[in-house]
Amino acid sequence: MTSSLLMLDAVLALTLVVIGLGVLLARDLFQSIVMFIIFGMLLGIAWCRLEAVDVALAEVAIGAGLTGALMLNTLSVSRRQPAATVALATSTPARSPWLPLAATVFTIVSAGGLAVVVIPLARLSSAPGIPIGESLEQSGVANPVTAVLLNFRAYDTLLEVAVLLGAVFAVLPMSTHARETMARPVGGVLHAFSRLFVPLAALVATYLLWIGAKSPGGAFQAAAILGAAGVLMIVCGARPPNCAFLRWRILLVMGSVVFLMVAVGGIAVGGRFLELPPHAAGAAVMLVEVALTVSIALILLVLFNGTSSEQDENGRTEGEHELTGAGGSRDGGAALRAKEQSP
Amino acid sequence: MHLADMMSIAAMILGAFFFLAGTVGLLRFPDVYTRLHALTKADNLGLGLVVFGLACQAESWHVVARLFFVWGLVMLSSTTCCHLVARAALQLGISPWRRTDDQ
Repeated sequence: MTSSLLMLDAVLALTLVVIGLGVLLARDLFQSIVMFIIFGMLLGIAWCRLEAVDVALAEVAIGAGLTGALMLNTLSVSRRQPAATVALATSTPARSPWLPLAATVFTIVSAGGLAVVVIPLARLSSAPGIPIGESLEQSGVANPVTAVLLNFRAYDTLLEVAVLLGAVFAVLPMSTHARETMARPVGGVLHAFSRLFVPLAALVATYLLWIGAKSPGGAFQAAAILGAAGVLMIVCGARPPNCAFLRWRILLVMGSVVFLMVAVGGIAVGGRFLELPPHAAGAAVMLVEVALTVSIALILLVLFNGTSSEQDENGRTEGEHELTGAGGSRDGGAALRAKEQSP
Repeated sequence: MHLADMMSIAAMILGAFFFLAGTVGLLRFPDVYTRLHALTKADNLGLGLVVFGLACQAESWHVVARLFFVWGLVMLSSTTCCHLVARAALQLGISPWRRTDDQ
């Protein structure tokens, strides 16, 4: 039994390395993305084998699912505007042949360093009587992962959400016009599927959010599923959230704001920043998780939508406008150089 | 050995066989449409058998219900994906493979 499980682990680890190489070495970007999605799925299984179901859920939903959708989206935009991609590629400095070697050495050194740090930790955590077991009941939740994420180490989570919000702020200026509908109709089957899937996704997300207090699940996983449902709706022609409106902006920042308010509330009741009093911790964690779920789902959706190309009524994409502008300035630059050389 | 264990083993082995057959079909069939056929049909049945095998080992009806729920969801999504891929292939003008006369 143990040896067969060991073999499964060995095959899994080997496959991960091979697929990882496949992602890096694939000639075609599309192939590379598909490999990346498969890599995420297998990584999810690996996390399950390590009994880290929370991480597995997040990896599959965000790492493989939504990131994969983001990448495919970006690829399809860059294929529709090949000139833009070429311009981007030529504007980057010429690649030194030493770069891959340096990256390899850096990766090996940092992976080695991580191994040195993490392997003793693994031995420590398998020892009986780890600190979290004793203080878990003060956290207000029964799932140790949620307890760490939203109570004991809530600082990390707060900053993570802030980073996500920062990414949205970077994307929003590039997608000022809300795209009305997809360029191509997607057909009746996907519509029927989305009608079945979206309510189910809402149900599953609520379940994950609620169950997160005592078993694997929580805000990030629930938000990823809600975000995926939103992506499906956009693909089916639903109007994406237009962040020019205040209501969407409020929902975008709600998670961080509620989190901060709860954190400051800790001071108000006589504790420290982010310190939750044990009797109110359960409710506070749940409140933060609900707000985080809504905000993170919307953030993921806006990130997805922000990478799509937008079409105006003439069917020309935003990129083409920028391209003609860039082409004009390039010609201008050439004329300027010619003028400089002539005297 | 209990009856449930024997049913589990039989269902899982049969399920694994269908996955294998589907994978062989994916690798060996001549065009995108036949490959889709192999992949989705075989995997749906294979997963169904694996789910049945797992359901025989489940501790409660909740778990059984959730397992079959997963199967239903996967069938729903794989059918939709299959349709989308086939539709995209048709729109790209890929014509279905036909056996040539001299074969």
